[in-house]
Amino acid sequence: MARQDEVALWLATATLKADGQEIAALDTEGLMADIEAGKDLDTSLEEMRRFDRKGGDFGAEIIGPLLIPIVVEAAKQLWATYLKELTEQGGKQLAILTIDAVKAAVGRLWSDKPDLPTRYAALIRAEAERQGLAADQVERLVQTVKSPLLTEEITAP
Amino acid sequence: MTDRHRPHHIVRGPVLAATSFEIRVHLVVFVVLILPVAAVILPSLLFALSAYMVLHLFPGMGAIVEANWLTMWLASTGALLSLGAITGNRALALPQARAVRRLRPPSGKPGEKLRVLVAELWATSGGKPLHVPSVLWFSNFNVMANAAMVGGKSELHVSSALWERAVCEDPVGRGILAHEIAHLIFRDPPRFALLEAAAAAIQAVARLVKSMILVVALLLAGHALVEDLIAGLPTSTIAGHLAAAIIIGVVAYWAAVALDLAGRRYAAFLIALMELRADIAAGQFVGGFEAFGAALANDSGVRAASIEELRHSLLSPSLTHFSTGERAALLSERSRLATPKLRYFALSLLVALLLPLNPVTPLLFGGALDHLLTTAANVALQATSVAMLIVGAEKHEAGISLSRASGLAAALVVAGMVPHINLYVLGYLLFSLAVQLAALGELSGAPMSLESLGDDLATTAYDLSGKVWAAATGLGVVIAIACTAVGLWCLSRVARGTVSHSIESAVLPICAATVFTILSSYDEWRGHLYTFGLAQAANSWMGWTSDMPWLRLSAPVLGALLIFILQELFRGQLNQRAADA
Repeated sequence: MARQDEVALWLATATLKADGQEIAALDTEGLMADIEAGKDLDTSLEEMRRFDRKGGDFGAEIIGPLLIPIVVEAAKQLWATYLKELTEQGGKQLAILTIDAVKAAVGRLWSDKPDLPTRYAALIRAEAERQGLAADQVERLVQTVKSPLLTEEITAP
Repeated sequence: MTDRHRPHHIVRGPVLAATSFEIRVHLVVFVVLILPVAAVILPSLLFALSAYMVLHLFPGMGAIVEANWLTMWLASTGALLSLGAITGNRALALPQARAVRRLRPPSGKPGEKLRVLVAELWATSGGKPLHVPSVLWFSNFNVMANAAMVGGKSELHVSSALWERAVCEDPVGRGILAHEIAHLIFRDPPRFALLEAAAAAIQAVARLVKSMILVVALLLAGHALVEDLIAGLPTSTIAGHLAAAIIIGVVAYWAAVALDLAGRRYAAFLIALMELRADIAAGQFVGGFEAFGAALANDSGVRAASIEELRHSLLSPSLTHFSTGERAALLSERSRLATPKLRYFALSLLVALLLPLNPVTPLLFGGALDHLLTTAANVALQATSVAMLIVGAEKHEAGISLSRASGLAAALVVAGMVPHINLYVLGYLLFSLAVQLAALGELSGAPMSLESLGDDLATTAYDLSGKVWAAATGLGVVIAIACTAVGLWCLSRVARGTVSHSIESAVLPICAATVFTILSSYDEWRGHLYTFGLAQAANSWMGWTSDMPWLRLSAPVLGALLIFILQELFRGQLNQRAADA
């Protein structure tokens, strides 16, 4: 299981919960269970995009807002470009840290480094624009990321 | 449907009742006729004939197989029935196999809200509180849902995207939940499974027959090639023999393709009609099917209709749903909902018309089975049109417009012509071409040449155009369309004004439409199945109408109209007497 995927999903779940997106958060928790079972995150996300129909289905192709891929991608980028380095500076190498230890380290960083939420918000905005999320939904997500609600979610034990 | 599931106040809705009736008629035609003919009778004959041709290649076998032809046919029937049964059973087990979706019970406040919403819709639909379906969800970005009956219990499976929309009071989200609830109310899931199993069986049987035909064509070609080489025939003769084998193989192959297409498309059409009925019911549960259609049409998340989607709707044998745009359009146009879905049924009629292009089935019982299929499609269309206009009539609605009646009339008249157009002449042309190539010499004494080919083509075109002209009763077709249109228009008006437009009140007019359709479809060359005096009656009918043959094309609708008026007058008299008493 890739540490990047694990952290990204955890951060995405926290973001969605802080945004009040309970159902989407359940989706990301399901994705976490998938990757814990050895499944690849990209494969799981691809499966979630898959549309099929047979008798008994509603059968019309209607796509919902793609919040999860946006938040997960932004969280991945945040991890790849910033969080990973900062967490390593904390002392131990990532390879020997448990996921709970990484979460705790990220939680501390989130409180200590106020630019982290700003960077995360910028990544979300860029990714949302790339994937064509509605402007009002983008603004709502950005506000959530900058709000104390997300900090509470991330630093919660 | 059991009483505990029957939602009385919904089923009585005229449009829903009309659609239910449309489904029933096509279901009867499918089970009684299409399935046995397309999956058993004709494939087993093709299979036995293929085996017969192969066995004929072996010295001394010809006499034996001819003496045991019936046994061969019965054995083929048994083998294909077994194959169909095994494939159908496997397909029935597939719905469980689809459970790759990880289904979970919804949790938290949104979960509670979803359950409440489902319970509300269930109550609105007329379902009993004790039998509220359980709800399970799966992760997916698409707004998806499925109705299932697992171990006799009703279940709704919703995607997370739908869950999200449904709990936000989104009209499309609620409509989709209502659509799935309608499937459970109508107990559709087991029927879907049976229809899919039947389609799988038809496909498996057709595949085997197609393979057999290919093998036989290759064997015959190989056999001819070896014999030609041994005999030292010239290359042009050998090429002619090979070309003949290919042409015969292709036209025989078409028979298997046509049967496969006819059978599976009919099953698919039925599934799509059941989906449409669920759309109508869903619309009624959430404030009107027009409003639901409009919400669906205006939803920004709905994927735009594509040419591929339209092609799938019109031509695919694996259709399950009409295109989304078409569903929205149908829901917003009551007169189309309450009349047969012509453009989607057209392929079934066309395949029946094209079936005699092969060299085999037109020779079986003098082409009676080919004729039976076209007559069945014609009966289904005429009977559903009459029944739907009666059952679907509403007092406060205007009835169908004259333009809609004209379109429907044109389709009914064309359907009435189809049993009289035997395309065997085209199949015969191909067959004779093959024979000429094989002989590279003569057919009826004339050596093969471009000129003779041109003559053959001209003769066939003349023959065929004559058949079409006769089927159309010449210019009488215009009178037939006009009379049928007026008949349909009147029928919808009369039905609107009557006391009752229940299914029972449509029985006699349906019988009239059916009888007139059968009589008018009679073809003296292919009418071997017109038994028990039916041929005599049909001949009498043809005699009576010889001065105005167009009447045969209009008779199903006009006869049904006449019977319906008489029935309603009689009913009115009885009611009056009862009131006086």
